[in-house]
Amino acid sequence: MSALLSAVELTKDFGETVALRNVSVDVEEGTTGLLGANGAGKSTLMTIFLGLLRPTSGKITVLGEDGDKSTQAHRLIGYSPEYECLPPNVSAAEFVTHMARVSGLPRTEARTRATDVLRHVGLDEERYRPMGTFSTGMKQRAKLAQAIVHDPQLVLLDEPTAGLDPAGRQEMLELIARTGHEFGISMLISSHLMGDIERTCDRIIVLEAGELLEQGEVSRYTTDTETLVLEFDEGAEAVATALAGKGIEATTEGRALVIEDASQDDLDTIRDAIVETGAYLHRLAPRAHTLSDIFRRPAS
Amino acid sequence: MTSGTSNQTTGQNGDPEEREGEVFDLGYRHYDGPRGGRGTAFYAVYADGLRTVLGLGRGVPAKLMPAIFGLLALGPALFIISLAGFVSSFGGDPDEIDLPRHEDYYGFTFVIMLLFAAVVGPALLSPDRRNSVLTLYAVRPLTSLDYAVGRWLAFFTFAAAFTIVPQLMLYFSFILSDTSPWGYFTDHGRDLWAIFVVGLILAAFMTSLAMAAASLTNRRAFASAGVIAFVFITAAVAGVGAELLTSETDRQEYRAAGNFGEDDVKAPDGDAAHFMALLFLPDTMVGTVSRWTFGTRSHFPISPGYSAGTIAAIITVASGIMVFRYRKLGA
Repeated sequence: MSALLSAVELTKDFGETVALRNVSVDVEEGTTGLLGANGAGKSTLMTIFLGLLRPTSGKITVLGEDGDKSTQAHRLIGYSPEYECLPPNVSAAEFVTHMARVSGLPRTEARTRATDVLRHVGLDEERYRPMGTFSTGMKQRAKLAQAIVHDPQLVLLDEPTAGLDPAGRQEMLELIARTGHEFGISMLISSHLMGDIERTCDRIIVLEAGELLEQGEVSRYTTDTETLVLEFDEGAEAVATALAGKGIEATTEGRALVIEDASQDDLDTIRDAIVETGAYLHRLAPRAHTLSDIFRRPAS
Repeated sequence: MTSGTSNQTTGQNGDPEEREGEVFDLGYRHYDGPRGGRGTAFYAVYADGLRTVLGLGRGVPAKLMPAIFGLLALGPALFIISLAGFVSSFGGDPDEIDLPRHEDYYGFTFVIMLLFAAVVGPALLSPDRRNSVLTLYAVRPLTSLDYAVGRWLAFFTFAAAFTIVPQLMLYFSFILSDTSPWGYFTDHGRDLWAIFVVGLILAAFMTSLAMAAASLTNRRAFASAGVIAFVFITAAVAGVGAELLTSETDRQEYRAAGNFGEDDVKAPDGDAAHFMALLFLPDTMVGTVSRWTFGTRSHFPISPGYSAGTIAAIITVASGIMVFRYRKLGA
């Protein structure tokens, strides 16, 4: 299967600032997460794929077309930017219908699809209200609706959970997952939150400071055995020495020890070591995955 | 994946043929119909422009303005028609009272048209810029020029309707109220095409001004003020300039005549004042271009071609500004 989007040695600089440096990525069918801190180059990469920005150097392909003349591909792409892009005095039904028509759909199809899609994103009741009166969550849904109303092959969602509270974020992610997995629309979703990507995506692209850090299947990272963190009030060094004697390698991070890939048996050994040394254990917990854990592990 | 599109309520136990369409339980259907390209997108932008002018899908206040301006544009025509009807119903001859003619009509509606262009016109461009909606257009199958021209045409449609429809109403009322309708038609055939020519020029003039102003700012109010300011400032420059360039004797005759630009005003020694006066756009447009086209005035202090050229230049420059501002979408 050829890639839906592909970038080869893409570089984009804005004068002094380098937004993307030599990035080569492929976005394949399915749901792909574009992960990175703010300013890592996620939006820049998306806008280059959309033809809104020209790369300084490098080449892109969009749905099999050369990125320079991808007007045709635009019929089959949906996009929801990270900022607000909805006219406040227009109703959601009016706007989404209009966007469907601009995407090339005939009038009656545009209208029925707008109604369907607004129902799908949960804006059935509110569809005749001016969008300026919408909450952040409703605006994010309306943005998703306009991005999928023309049944695109690929949708690019830039920070679709921005500004949402935890419950709203959860709902939005479920909606995105359903749109992606059950409706067969491929997606590229950018986020700075690992959790968002983990829950919705099959594949992941990680950018850091404009450079490609990693790309691959999400499962590859999430099935890894978890890292164990032991915080001590005192005695961390002694425990580390004792563990080293028992063949378990622990790295010291301040007053804490970090043990990679601890198995069930290791847990017993660790417990014994703590008892033997008489160290004051403050906390023992699996460390939640963070970007730096997974992607800055020296081994990989 | 494509079958069963009409069935959205397929249950879990539906027959095998329908079960493959489980996604349709959620009301989502894939679209396999035709997908238009630039042409469809262009028309969509144009049609949405028409709806924007009328305020459709946009709440009550947005609908008020076009309604008010529509009434204002038609008002004088309705008044003249009913006046003529009133006179003839009392056995009088409408021709004997000095009813305004077609070429006079623009004098009534120029300011209304200007306000319409200033108040409603910018709604077609400025808010899309301000609300970043342009980005959404930019990722769809149309070019920046398609968008800008579609919006321009949408406003032009209404502007032309506002200049032409009342005139046609007048024209047909003149025909019907004439003792010999066919005679009126053969005598005034030129009026009919002049109505269209002048109407389209005036509409293009107003549209270009409004769209140029709207393309320069994200705020409707600034664009509105810009349109009005442009006409008033050029008028002021024309007034002051013509005054300075006119000799004392000319000035006396000018005042004695009461109306600038009337036939009996002697041309100044130099034409400079008249060229300066071209910037008085209401007179250049309504007084000269309109009367010239309708053939109701044969003598002009300077060739009316200069007036037509001035109007054409303003339309060209203003449209150029808009095209330049929209040479690239969303960037």
